[in-house]
Amino acid sequence: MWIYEKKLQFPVKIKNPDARAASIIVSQLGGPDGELAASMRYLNQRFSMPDRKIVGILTDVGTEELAHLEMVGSILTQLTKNLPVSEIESSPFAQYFVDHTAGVYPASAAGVPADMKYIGVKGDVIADLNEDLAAEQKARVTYDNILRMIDDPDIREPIKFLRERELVHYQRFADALRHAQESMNSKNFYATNPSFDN
Amino acid sequence: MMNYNGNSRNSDALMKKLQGVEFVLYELTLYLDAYPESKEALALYHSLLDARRKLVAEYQAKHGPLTMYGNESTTSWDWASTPWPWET
Repeated sequence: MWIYEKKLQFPVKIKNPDARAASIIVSQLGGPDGELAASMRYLNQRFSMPDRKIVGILTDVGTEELAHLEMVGSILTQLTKNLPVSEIESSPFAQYFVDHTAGVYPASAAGVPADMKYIGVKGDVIADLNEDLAAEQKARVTYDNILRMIDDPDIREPIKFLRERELVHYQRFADALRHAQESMNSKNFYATNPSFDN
Repeated sequence: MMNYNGNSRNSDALMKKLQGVEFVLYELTLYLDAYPESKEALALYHSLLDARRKLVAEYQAKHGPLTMYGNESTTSWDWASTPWPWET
């Protein structure tokens, strides 16, 4: 089970609302490489993992992704608080606003609602961990792209924190993959399906 | 509601300390998941547990519950009425 801690993992305190920033950052809530997809990917892959150590990494990274989902939601809500409609209608946030007002809805920056097609659960240790390594890099690139388009340090600081976490998670998934391959039969050179066929 | 300091949960110096200690503990947890044999990481983890316990107690006494198990008042339910983390 999970219980909630009434705190953010890293402070989010944005002084100036910014509709344009909200319209791009929403992708890390509900976009293809966003935090919702990340948490669902890892927390569901756990069940078919043949190794307790790897289940531990997926559990703790997956739980941290839920905390990141809350940080992105906090960023979005602060960016859109008390925004005058005159500023919204001339910004790319207008398309989101017409359907969701200032609510926090998991969608991509292009307006596509979050979808479990963004994640893979293959039930195979090698396939799933390779997916996770790619997912962390894709999320890191998305944060890099957000940082390329935003100057406000109040927004940049929590985004930089989230970007750093993708790097750490990538390291831990690399440890998990190395561990999985070392635990396999040494004759299993092509690393195929040890959890199901053996 | 108890007479808690009603400030944001997001800017207070005590919260920042707690976030710092918990961040290191989280990082050590991920590391220990991958390297359970690391005596150095395990020792560091234990050296911070007590600091976290004290900060949580101090924070809850000043600002109210951090988890559903932290409603210390026996006369008022403060869990939902104290500020939420995204409030500035």
